[in-house]
Amino acid sequence: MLNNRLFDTDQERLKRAERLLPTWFVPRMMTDVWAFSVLLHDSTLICIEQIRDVRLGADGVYLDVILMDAPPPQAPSRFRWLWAPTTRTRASLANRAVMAAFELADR
Amino acid sequence: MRKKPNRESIQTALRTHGQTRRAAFDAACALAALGQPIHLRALIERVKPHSDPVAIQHGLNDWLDANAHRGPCGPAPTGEASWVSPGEPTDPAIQADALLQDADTRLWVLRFQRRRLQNHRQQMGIRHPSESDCQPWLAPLQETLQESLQREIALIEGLEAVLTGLKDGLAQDLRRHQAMSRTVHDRTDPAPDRLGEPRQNCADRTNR
Repeated sequence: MLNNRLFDTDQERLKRAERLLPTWFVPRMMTDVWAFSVLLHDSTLICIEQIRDVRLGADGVYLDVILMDAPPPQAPSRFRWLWAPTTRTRASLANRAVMAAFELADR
Repeated sequence: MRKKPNRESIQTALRTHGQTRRAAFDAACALAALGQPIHLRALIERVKPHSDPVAIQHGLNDWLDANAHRGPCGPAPTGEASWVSPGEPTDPAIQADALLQDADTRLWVLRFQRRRLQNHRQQMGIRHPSESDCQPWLAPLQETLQESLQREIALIEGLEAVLTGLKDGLAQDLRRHQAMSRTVHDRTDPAPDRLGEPRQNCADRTNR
């Protein structure tokens, strides 16, 4: 529903992102604000709220994201959790480090 | 000459042993419920002063046996004989702790639901110029939707406030309960700490 509400610039950004990364999580995480997470190679889970953009750099694809400001309550300790260390929550992730992307909340 | 124990004195000794053993077991259960470490010293402090340490050790062994992980050998005993009740914990402190954790999770999800709606509302607020020019009927629809979203956000904020209040109240109750249990335990006279004495005496002698 929200996809229809996105304006040209947002639509273009989304299309560009889907071309660079034709995955389920790109449109899902670009069009909503929710508790998401990406798993890195070393079992680190990065808590993110939204993907703002997907960009092609000289050495690969990068995700511009908004980090969560706290980990989920009762986060399993077998993983290393990473979230925004300050109130400034913008960050970029190298897509080559991402193993999986999923949702952290069910409702 | 040492007096030969009669039947009555043996029975009394056995009864006392059983009572101490049971008291030590109960103390171990209480410690487990409070999430505190369970060891002989802690149990000695919680049973009647000058109780038989062998009986306390037996009580501790009983507790360890009852709470040991049951693998392929079969499940832990259930019913009257079960020391660890299945299903819901009966201790109010554990229940309150579980409720607090649940409240935390719910509050966390509510926060994201509020942020999601705020994001939707923000997206709607940015009106594209060509959109309003070409489709004038869209404006009132957007306003209605904006109001609806605002109402939902206010509702979630209200829920968050109520849940936070309930959570704070529960946390206070839990703290009060824990303080009370500590007071009850403190009333039991701890056994004198004699373990350090010989070493201390040795040290004194060496100093002299």
